[in-house]
Amino acid sequence: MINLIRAEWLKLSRRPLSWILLSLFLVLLVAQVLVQFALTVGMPVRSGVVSAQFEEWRRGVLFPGIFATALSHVNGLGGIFAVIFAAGAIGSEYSWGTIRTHLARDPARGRYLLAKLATIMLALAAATLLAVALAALIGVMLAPFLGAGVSIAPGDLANLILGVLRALYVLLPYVLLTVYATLLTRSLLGGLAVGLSYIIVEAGFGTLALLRILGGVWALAYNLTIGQNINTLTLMNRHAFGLRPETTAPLDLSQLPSPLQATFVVAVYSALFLFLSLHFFRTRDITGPN
Amino acid sequence: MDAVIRTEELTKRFGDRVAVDRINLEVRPGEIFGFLGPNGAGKTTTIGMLLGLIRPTSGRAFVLGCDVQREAATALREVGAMIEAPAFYPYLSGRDNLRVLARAAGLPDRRVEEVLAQVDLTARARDRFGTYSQGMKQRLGIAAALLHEPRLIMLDEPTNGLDPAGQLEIRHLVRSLSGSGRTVFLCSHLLHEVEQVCQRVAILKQGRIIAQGEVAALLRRGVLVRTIGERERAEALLRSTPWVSRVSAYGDAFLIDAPGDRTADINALLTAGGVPVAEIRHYETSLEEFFLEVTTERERR
Repeated sequence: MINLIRAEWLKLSRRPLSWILLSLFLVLLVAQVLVQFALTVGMPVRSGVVSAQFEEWRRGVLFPGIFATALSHVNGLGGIFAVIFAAGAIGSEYSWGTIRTHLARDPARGRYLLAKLATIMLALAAATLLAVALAALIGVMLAPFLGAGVSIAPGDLANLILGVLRALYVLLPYVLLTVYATLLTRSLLGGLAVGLSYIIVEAGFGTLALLRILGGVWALAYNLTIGQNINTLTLMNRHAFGLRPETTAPLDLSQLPSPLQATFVVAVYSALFLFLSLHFFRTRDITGPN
Repeated sequence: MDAVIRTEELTKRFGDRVAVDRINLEVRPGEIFGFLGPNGAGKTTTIGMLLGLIRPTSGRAFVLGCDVQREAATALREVGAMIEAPAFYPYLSGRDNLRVLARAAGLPDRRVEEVLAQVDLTARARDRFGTYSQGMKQRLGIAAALLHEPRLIMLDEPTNGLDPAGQLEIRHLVRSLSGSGRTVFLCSHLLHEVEQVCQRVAILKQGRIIAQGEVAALLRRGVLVRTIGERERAEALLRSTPWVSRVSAYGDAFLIDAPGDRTADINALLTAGGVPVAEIRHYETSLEEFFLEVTTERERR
């Protein structure tokens, strides 16, 4: 398994797509932090919700809130990048025909797929750590302009470790759904289309949150979507670093699933997509490039 | 001696289409075995089943004594393969492509350098695979197949897209592999290529094996005798001759099994019997002619 992960890492780390995605991801993070900074620096006196929003942005640029900003970026736009990355890592093996080169040498398909998934998650972990480090660096540089110091409590570091793990956990079902769709369609574009469509549809479904008022099946269905459950987990990351998004957005915390449910539902989705991917990959014929 | 590859009624259907139909193959250790057939005959599907990539609909395949369906990992441990076009990562160099495979198999990088040298690619090893010529791609494919020093090498159309010089180079390489004690399973639709390097062949057509055996035995050799009319009398005379062991019609002539130094005697025999002779010469069919003969025979039936 370790040998396979080393081989996968060599492939992914040399692939231009990986570096393009990482660069874009980090540039957008920097842009987001700088925009928040620009909006808050020299902030005129405002009142009510507007003031709360500006205060929230300010906290998101300072320590330890900057960590929450980075982790929110990982679970926001980062999700889209993760889907593209995962679809590329699996789909290109079909389009280039390299999957046959590998499996003709080592027929343990389950091990091969698990090594690929582990490498994808390792790469996403590396990107998340880079994002956190970059955000921290920017936070250090911007703090004096906002008249704030740089102080990180031991508790923040513990929260940071938990936060990074939580952010990766949130990405897992999207990555696994994309992997499953890519295997199903044997194509990068197929995986990409399904992965991104799900994110978009779920975002659209989010606007139908009012359906919860109808109760019963509607409320249950809404409460069991991946998006609704990861909302709980991403909110935990924000709260851990002192951000309070519920003060600036119409977010009813009582309607969110509990952390336990959220963790369980995300695990169930991930396990389901992993099982389907493994089953499909093990039983299907591997034919020529598409 | 155990067969290196053996199949029993191996069959693959894709929906209603039968791609491979109850084939029984036997490849012996150390030989270069040619697997012949026109495009779409089922060669690549058969290789796919031998490598565990494609599941047979029925029948069994044994590679190096192991059932591919049940013990794929053991069966394929000592098999190197290049299936159709060599498939590698276009953004990686030739060397890095091999390093990916070497790492996955737990092989040292030293082995990568060895196979690069073996296929004469060391000088271009740093270049991206995407920039390679077709010949270089094929050589890299063979290098990948050799990486873990397999006992059995399966090459699917290894000279595809190569110029005559490139084809010759690959043929030399295949011969040298066999010379080092490996078994080579060579899949091709190029009959002259197979004829030049293989000891035994199987001919596949529309998923079925229509001929299998030693190249020398499949190819027809003998003395070609063409007369001017008088065919019946000529045939009777030839059949009554003790040193002629077989007489068969071959187009408008006869092909007979007779010692090569008896052509003058044949001429004398026929002339004395009142049969005018137009042509007597040694004759040997090419694999191409044999292939056309067996495939058209089958179509006629």
